[in-house]
Amino acid sequence: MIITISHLKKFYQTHQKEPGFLGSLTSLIHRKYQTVSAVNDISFDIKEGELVGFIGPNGAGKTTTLKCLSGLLYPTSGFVSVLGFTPFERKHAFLKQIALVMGQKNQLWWDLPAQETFLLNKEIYEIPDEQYQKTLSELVELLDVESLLKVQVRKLSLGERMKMELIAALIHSPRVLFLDEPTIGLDVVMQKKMRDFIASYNQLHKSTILLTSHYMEDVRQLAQRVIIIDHGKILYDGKLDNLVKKFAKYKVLSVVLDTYVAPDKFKEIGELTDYNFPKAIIRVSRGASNVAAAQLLEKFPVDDLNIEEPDIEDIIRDVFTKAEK
Amino acid sequence: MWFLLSLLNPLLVLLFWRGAFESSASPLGDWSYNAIASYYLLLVIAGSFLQVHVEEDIARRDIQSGFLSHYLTKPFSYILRKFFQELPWRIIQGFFGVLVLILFSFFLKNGLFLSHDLIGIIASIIIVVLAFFISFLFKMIVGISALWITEFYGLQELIGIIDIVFAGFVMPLALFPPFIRTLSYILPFAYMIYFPILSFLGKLSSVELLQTIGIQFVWLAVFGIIYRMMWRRGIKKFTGLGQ
Amino acid sequence: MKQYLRVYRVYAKMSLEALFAYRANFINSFISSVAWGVFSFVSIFLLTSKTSSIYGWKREEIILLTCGYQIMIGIFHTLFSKNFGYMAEVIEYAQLDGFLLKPIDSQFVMSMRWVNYTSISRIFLGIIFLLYIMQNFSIGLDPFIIGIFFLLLLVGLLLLYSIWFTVATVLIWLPRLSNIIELMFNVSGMTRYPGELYKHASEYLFFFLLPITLVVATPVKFLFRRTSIIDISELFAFSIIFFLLSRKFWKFALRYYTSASS
Repeated sequence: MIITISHLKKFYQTHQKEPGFLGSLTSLIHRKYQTVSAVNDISFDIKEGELVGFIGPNGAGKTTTLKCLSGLLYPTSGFVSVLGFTPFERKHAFLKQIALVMGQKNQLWWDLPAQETFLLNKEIYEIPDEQYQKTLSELVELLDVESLLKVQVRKLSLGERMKMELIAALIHSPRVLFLDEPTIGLDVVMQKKMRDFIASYNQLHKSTILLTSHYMEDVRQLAQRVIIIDHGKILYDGKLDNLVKKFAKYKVLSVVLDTYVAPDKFKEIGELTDYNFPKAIIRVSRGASNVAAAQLLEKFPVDDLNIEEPDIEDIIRDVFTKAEK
Repeated sequence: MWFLLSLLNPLLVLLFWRGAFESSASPLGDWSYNAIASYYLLLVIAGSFLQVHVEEDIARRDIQSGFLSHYLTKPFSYILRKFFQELPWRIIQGFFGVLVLILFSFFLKNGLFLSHDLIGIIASIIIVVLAFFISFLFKMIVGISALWITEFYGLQELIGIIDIVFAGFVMPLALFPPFIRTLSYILPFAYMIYFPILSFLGKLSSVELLQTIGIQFVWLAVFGIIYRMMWRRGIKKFTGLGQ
Repeated sequence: MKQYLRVYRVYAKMSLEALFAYRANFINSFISSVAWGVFSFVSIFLLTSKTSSIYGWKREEIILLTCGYQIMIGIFHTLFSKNFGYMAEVIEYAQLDGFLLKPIDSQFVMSMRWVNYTSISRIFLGIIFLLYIMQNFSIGLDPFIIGIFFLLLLVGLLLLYSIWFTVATVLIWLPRLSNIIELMFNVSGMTRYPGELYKHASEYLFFFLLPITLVVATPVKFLFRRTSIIDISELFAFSIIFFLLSRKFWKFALRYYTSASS
């Protein structure tokens, strides 16, 4: 096990501040403190080379967990071990083997070409010249940024900047990579490129990658294993397919009709969730999906019929709402 | 906080002069310790009331951010608007200065060294008012120069430092070595700060009072003309740039 | 150790490049730096023109004190000032996280990331005046003495840095402090004043008082062979103690930072 978390808890004290000038004054004198439990007893293990998706809504505890794993936060209680080290001790030998990339924060120096920041990191991580050149050219090729190396960072577009951030973060070839919301703020094309890159990087280097996201596409395309977290607790930990099978008790029949059929006629097949002639979407229980499909074809003027898995977003939403109850 | 710091300067220097007075009876000629202490305390008020700071505003907001065009569309004269914008701040600051003065005058052994002559006091008030206008006009000129000079901040610091030396913030101009002393009487800075203080200290004879007022009028006229010229040329340039 | 030297070389290079990226700023700071440097000398010259002795210090000794001060301030500004200026920002906007993730000492990064080249002019001014005064007042230009003088200046610099850093570390607990100050400034209308003036005003307060009294005095006294072993050992002791204190305090502050931030 390269990453082990056992009964991790992280609580914060926050205080309420009343708005306005009077509020500022009173907050100086008397503060009401509240305990927020960002992470409330989670445990999981990750093996070397795994690519794990860590999903949950905003405020679920994803970023907090990543910060605990990378040493930026000191846990309230529980056991954390990464590569055999205790992260919050921030030993240099540990830091040289990990990388944390957070969407908004950047480490590139604004007024200088990205290349300068790479050189800086080379010295900070004590990367030998040969290895540096090799890693750099590999990453540059993979991300296709050869022509941008000497351009000032502030002149780059958001997508280009993200690529440079990645190179800066990966130049020391970390064994463990933490990615916090890597596709946030990017356009659709860039998102795909980012996902492809992450997948290839994982394949090539067998590095362990833990990424957080609240986009389903990220998860669907990348994660072999998925951990769902909400309100600081783990709701599911396992393969994506199993998630679908376990939580999605239904399948979706998507139909294109030839002639109009009254909505209530579909009741005998299953639950009609969406009807926009000529298209209709019907939910049927998983086991009965084939029978239902056959019935549809027999009794209704069907032009086209598809049996689909339900949308992961819907599944996960269901999981969350179940958890709330 | 700036205010407290402008207070610290005179206090420190006074400590320095104390040392001088300890080693010899009257190192500063006809300036007693009391006189020089009063001088520095009056500097506090002078610094807060008579030191105008419009140039920063003009350079940053109006010229560089283009706010000036907002003023140009209004029917009021730019310089008048700036004047009335600045005046309240000066008064508030001056008020604090007076408070500080009263507070610290209790610590002076022989009380504050001030002029008691009524005519002298009236003349002093005139000199102060004139000094304010000179200071204001001068800063307006410095501010507008941002229309031509890109390295404005360097220039501003430079002028600021020359001001500190030649307006008497370091020490009374009368105590300067002869050559520098003469130079300081030729430059306008002394008439913004130094002479107002001297007149309140009662160190100017009636003749000298009249002389001071005369020279102040001369500087007012000079700055007025310079400002006019720069304003005309400057506006052409500014509106020409299409800001 | 080698790692730190190499990293610092990169920092120095990057600061130099950033300097050339902003031409106008460079000229402004340079004029500013030289002007204030010259001002220090002019004012001390004027103040001592009337008297030959103050608290037992002769005129040339006081002027030399100013030279020592200029050199020390020059080095301090070149190496550290900009970084102290950014410290509040780094803490408030959690850029500190980025530093903590790197296998390099965070105090080092916080203190030395930026090099301010324009302040080198102050160092030169100080040295030039130093040599001029020593020539004029025929104080022996014995290289050994001058060497020790600079060594003592550096030790004093360490002390000054340590005090500054320790005080600045408090920002970890109070990033709000700058907001409160901002509020008070707004209320009293102080924000009318240019930011640069604040910088010089606080320089006056923290650099004039502290170093002159604690730090520059000893090296200058040494130059006049009026210093004692006690003075020198005091300086060394204080420097080392405060430096270690600054490190301990910083590590302590980081514990708080990593426990409390989100």
